[in-house]
Amino acid sequence: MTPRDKLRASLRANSEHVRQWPDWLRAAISTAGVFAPIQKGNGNGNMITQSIPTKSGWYRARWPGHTRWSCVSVSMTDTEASVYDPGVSRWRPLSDVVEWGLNVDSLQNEVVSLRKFVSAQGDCDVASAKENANLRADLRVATVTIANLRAAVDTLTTILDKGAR
Amino acid sequence: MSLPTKTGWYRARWPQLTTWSCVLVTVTGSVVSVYDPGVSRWRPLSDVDEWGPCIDDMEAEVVILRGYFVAMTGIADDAHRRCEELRDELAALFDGGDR
Repeated sequence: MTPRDKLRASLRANSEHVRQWPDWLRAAISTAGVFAPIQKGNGNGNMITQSIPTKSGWYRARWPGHTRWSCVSVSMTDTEASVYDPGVSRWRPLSDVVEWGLNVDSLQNEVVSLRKFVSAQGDCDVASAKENANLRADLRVATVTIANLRAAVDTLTTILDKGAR
Repeated sequence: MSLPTKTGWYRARWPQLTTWSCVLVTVTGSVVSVYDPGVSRWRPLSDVDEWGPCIDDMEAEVVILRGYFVAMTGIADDAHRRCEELRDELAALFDGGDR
């Protein structure tokens, strides 16, 4: 294998590695589910980002007259959605809650996914730094090789010109 | 998972239940209790079968991790672009050398 073939092979390998990155990032994004907030009006003409319960489970919620956030159990059936209020020991409509926060199960899953991402990112940083270093080294070798080849061609051309004269 | 040591909301599993709940824990002096809405009273932490993470802490952590995620994605995109540029530079050199 010539130096040029080696360089081409290295280039192909590096390109393949780089091509895999977007898939890896997309997978991390979809697993984390970070960028899917729901927007709704807050009554003042402004849009606020807030999760609305769409399935049964535990949610962060703020009851009227309270500044602190609670955790509430939400039940969804085909016909109605209700939130359990332990203060009065009964189920109430979702609209009785002033502000809705995250689904606690999703929050827990998201934290796990993001922790994995951060951990994997550390490995990827090392890998990408190595790939970049390899590419730069390839580039330096290629530049020197081609400069030498051009110099050799110039020398040969000069010799041939002299011979022709 | 360790027992709660500060006031806040936690994931917890009550005895006989397979699903996880969210419970309010309060610390008053040296007494730490968990509120059981089923019987409307405070109970000792030992009445809970299994403890999960503090939800307030998780919420704070997810904000930090999301910020890190966005920043890292940007850095990875830049690195990706730089790799593409280096690849193009190499390809240009080959083109020049093949003349």
